[in-house]
Amino acid sequence: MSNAIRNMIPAFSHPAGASSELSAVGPRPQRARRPKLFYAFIAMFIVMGTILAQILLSVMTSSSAYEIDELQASNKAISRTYEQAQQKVAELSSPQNIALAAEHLGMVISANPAYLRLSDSKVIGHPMRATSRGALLRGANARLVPNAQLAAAGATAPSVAGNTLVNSVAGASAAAGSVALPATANTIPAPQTR
Amino acid sequence: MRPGATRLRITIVVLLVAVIMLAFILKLIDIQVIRADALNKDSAGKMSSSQTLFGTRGTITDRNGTTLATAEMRYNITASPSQAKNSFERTVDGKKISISTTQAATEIAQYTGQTPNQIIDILNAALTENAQSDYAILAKSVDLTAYRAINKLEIPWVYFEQAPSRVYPNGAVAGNLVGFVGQDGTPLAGLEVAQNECVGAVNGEQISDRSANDGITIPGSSVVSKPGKNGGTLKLTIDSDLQWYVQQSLAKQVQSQHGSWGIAVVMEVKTGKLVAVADYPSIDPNNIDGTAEKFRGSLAFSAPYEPGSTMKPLTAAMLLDQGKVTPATKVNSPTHIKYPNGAAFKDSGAHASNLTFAGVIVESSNVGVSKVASRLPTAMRFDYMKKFGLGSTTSVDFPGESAGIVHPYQDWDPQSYYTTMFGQAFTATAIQMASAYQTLGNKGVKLPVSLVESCTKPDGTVVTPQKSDGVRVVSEQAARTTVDLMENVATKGYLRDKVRIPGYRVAEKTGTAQQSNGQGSYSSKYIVSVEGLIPAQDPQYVVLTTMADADLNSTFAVAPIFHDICVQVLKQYRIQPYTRNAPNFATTY
Repeated sequence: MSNAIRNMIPAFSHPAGASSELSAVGPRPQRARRPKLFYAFIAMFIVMGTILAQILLSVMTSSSAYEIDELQASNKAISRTYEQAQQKVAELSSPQNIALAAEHLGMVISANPAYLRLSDSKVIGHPMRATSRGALLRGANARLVPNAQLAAAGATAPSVAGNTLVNSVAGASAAAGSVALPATANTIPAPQTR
Repeated sequence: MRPGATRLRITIVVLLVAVIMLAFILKLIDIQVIRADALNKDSAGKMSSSQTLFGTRGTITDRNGTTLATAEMRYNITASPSQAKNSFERTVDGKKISISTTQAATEIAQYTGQTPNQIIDILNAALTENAQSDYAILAKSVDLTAYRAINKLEIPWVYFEQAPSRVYPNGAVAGNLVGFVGQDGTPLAGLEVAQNECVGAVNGEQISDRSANDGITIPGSSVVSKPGKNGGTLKLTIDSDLQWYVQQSLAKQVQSQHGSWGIAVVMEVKTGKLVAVADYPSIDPNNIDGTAEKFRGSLAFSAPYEPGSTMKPLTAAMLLDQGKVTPATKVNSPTHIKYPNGAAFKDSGAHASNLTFAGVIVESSNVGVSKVASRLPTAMRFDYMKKFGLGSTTSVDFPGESAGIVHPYQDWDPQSYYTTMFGQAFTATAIQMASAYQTLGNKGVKLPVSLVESCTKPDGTVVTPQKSDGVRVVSEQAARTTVDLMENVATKGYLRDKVRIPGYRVAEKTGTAQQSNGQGSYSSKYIVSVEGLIPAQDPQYVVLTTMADADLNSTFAVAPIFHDICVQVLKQYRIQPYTRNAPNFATTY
């Protein structure tokens, strides 16, 4: 046991009622009063700080509410545009549309399946010449498996390639097979030989 | 002043304060406790608003994931007619110009496809009914492009409502199967109805506090009061590319033959999965009104007919299974017959009478079939018919699906006793007939028919429909020999030049069935069909084609599309050419 502690023991074991024997503890109350004020300041400061921070925070959140709203709106608009584009892709890639485009390019469905085996260059099966029977979409036949979505898309966006095909083939039955090739002479750089 | 008076005054003041306090306390209790609920509700109603959280109806795709049906947000254009009475001002290039109601209506009309007068009429009609009218629908479910264009006009009396709708990007491709939903989102036909449990969505509700000035949501105030639920993704066994081809070929042929309807089916032999089911007339679910009401479902499932001679392979399989015949069995088959019980019928064409059983099938002799099939007890024959799936709906359970009519054998009259052997006096759907042929192709084991591959729920769990096990109907040997007999039909029958596919083996049977004329007797026009299995040496696909009231009034009307669909299937699924060991049964003795 250290000396310091041994010295403290008598102080604790004073008999009750012996307070009159005690001398005034001079400077202690003065020392205690100053920290109280100090703590009060700290407490006040914390309270004020909290209130201030809260006010600031709520000002910030409510001002960002407009930003949130704006961003949400633009997010919605963008995702709608995306969905619309995706749907247009689905419509344009519908089998009717692709078949029509292919037939418009002069392609017909092949007549009889046959395969070329690469290992020995052998032809398996009986290849036959494709005939006009493979052209299923001539004239009014182009509308046998209708798609109102495609027609609607064509009405609002006439510049889409697939839809112009629908319109042109539907109008002219003789269109299939006679396709004007795009002028490529000026688009592909080729050496000028003289 | 007397001290008593002072005390009295103090007392009065204290009492007064106490009374006022009490009044406040009572008021407080009234507000906070007694009327708390009502007031809270009232305040919530003023401060907050609720929004519908639209659940998205699930997508329907084909076996490869191609979208057949999907949800699309559309918009109803609404207006406040009482506000619309006045013109409004719009700033254009910094100048304010006045826009009249007529001009505004003209602007709206160009995007909704209406005439300006139609819009004015709607507004006037609403005002006639109620001069203070605050709500009228100008146009229902316009698309995003139109919505954005009209929104940009900034007409103060025009409002918008979200209107979830359904689009079918492939149009009529599988339209009869997919079905459609009503404008209010109620499923009305096809798989939209049957699989609503998978694709159906539930709308939720969200409540949030909003600023009174500009309607901005106050952060942190949003509460989902009722969670919504999105629909799952339904995957079909249909292949949309083949489906298109089959539909296109069928429609083209039925139109050129002026038939009243047609059906074509492609089914996988080894799985019972339907790859293509084409109905003519078909429906584009984007444009329901374009198709007559009776053709808005799927005829393949809902329209049973007397199949005719396509029944003969089933009768042959029963006989082979019971060991009653072999392909070489001699059957003396005249072209007419009258049985002692009074039944009488004839064959459709002339043929030799000294037919083998194989010859009976090639010539499609009703007389020949009746002679051998009477070797089976009636009850047993009826039993086989049931086991082949006739008279009961398939496991697809398609809306409006018919079981066909197979009367109990006890009720068969003498004529029906015989005609049931070759496909009259009972009815079956095209799907039932395809399923019966699937049994023959699959070594005698009938598999449940399926149209739905799976349902993927929004949380990613995949649910595949429970399938019952296959049922053996006839022995493997009986099934194999029946397919051989059908291949003999393809190589020797009257359609041999029409159904031949160089490099491949084809098995088929024709049917020229009488149909009711709706007045208690048979019509002069037939239901003609060609149904078969490819490739014959190891059947992978059932192909069925049928048409009613064709100009040719014979199976020549459907043979070309049977051939073309077979070729397309062989190509699309890369089936290797194979011609060896084709059966060659003698048709006469």
